[in-house]
Amino acid sequence: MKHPFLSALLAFTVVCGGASTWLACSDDSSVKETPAPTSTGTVPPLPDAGTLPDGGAKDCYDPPLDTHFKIINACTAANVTRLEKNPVLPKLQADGGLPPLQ
Amino acid sequence: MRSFSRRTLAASAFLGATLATGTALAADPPCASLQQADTPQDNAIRKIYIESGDTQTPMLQRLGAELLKANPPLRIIFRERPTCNLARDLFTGAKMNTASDNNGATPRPVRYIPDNTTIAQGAKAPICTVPDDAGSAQPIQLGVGATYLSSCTGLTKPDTVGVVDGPVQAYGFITNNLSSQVAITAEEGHFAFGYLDGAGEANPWVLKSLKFQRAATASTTLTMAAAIRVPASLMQGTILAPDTSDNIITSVKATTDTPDAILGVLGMDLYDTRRADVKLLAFRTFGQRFAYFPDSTSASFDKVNVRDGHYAPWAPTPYIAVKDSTGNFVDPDARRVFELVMGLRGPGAPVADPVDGLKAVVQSSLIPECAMKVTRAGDGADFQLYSDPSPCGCYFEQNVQGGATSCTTCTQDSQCGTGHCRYGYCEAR
Repeated sequence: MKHPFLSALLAFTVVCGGASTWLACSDDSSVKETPAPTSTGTVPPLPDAGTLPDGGAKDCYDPPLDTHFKIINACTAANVTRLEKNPVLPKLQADGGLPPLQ
Repeated sequence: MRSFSRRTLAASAFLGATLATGTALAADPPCASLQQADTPQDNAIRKIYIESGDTQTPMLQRLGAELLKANPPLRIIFRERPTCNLARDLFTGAKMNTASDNNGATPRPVRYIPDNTTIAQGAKAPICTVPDDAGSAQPIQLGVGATYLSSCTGLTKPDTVGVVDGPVQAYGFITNNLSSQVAITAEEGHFAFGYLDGAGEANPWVLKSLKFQRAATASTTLTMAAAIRVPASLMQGTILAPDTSDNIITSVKATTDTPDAILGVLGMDLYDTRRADVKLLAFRTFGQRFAYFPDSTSASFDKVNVRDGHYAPWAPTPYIAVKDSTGNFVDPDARRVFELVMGLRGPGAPVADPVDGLKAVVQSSLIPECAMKVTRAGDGADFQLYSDPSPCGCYFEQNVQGGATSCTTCTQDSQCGTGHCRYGYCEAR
C-alpha cells in the first residue's frame, strides 16, 4: 500500500529539485501557509516553531504565545507527559476538516 | 442466623438501591429541622440552600465541613442538578421542593453537611427531606453551575440575578481500567460521539451501549461536546438512568469483554476521587501537536496543563444568586460562600473569616481563577493568555494533592522584593 507521507515527500523532492534552478524552496516567501493536516494520521510540523541546536524542527513554541495555536502547542516543562496520537479517521475530510454531522 | 442474614441482605439491598437512586427515605430528617435531628446547640446554625452541579459536590462537602465548625457556623444544604436546570431554577425563583429530572427517572435528593461526621472521599452527604409544595419550601439561595451558561438554551436571566464566574472545572474522557487506550484526539471524540454506534468509524469507540454521557443540560456534556465540536443535543452516547456522574463511573468501571470500546465523560474533580476505578485518557484538541492529561502526568494532581492551556476541556463554575444594585449577592450566606471560594474572604484575605475556602477549592481539584494563566470566552472557544491581578499560583501549587512550590513563603509584601505576598507566598504581582 502506498504511504501518503512517502508520496508527499517524493512530490516535495521532485518539485523542489525541478524548480531549484530558478526558485528555491524555502520559508522566506511572503506568504506562509500552515501545512494542511491530513486524514491519514500524519501530523505536520508546527510552522515557525524554530529549530533545535542540531538543526531539527522544534515541535513546540516558546514565548511570546500570542495566539491560541501557539498556546496549545507551547513548550512545556520537562516533566510534563505529552503523547503522540495520530489516528486514521476515514470520515475526516482531505483537508483535515470535519464533515457535517449526518 | 439465617433470619439475621436475610434481614442483613434485605437491608443491604435496600440501602444499595437507595444509594444508587438517591431516593429520600421516610427516616431521613427534614432539612428544615436539622437542629432537632442533630445537636440541640445546633439551633442557632444558619442554613444555606444550594443547587449545584454534581461535579461540585466534593468541594461543597469539603467547604461545608469547615463552615460547620467555624465561627459563625453555616450549614450547607444542597441538591445536585444539571447546570442548565439549576440556572433556570435560580432565574425563575424556584424553591427547594422535591424534584427530579428525566421525567422522574433521576431523583434529585437534598443533602446536608452532618455534624461531627467526616464524609469519606468519593462518598455523598446524607439526605434530608424538603416539602413537596413550593409554598412551604425554602428559597434556593445560591446556584453553582459548572460550565458557561451561554451553552444552555432557553435561559433568560432576570436583571435581579447575578452570575459570576467561580473556579475552573476541567472535564475529560474516561475509559475502563482494562482498556489499552491512553489518549483520544478531538477528532476521534467527534466521530465517536457525533455518530451513532460505529458510523463515525472512530475505532475502538463504535458501540453506543458503551459510550456514556450526561443529558444535554449537564455541564459535563456541554463542555465535552464543545471540545469535540458536536452540539450537545446531537451527542449519540447512552444517557443512563439515573443521569448522574456516579452512574457513568459505575458503568465505565463495569466488567466487559470489550474494555477498549468503553468511553465516558466526567468532571475531573470526581475523577480525582475515583482514580482507582476508571482510567483518564489524555486529550489532544484541534490543531494540537500532542495529547495531554490535565495534570503534568497521569499520576499527579497539579492541573498544570489546564492552567496553561495545554488541556482544552474546561469551563468556569458560575455562581448564581439574587444581586443588589451594585452587583453583589444580596443573601449574606450566598455572598460568604462565593467570597470564600474566590479567596476574597478567609484567613489573611481582604475579608477575615476562619474558613480557608481557597484550600477547599484547590484540594477538590478545582482551579481558582487567580491560578489560571489562560482564559476563554465560552465553551470550546480559543484561549488567550491571562494574568490575574492578584495571582495565587504559588498557593495553588503548594496545596494541591502532593503539591510543592519553589515560591518563597512570606507574611508581608516587604519580604517579596518588587512582588507581593499573597496567601503566604511571594508572587510577582
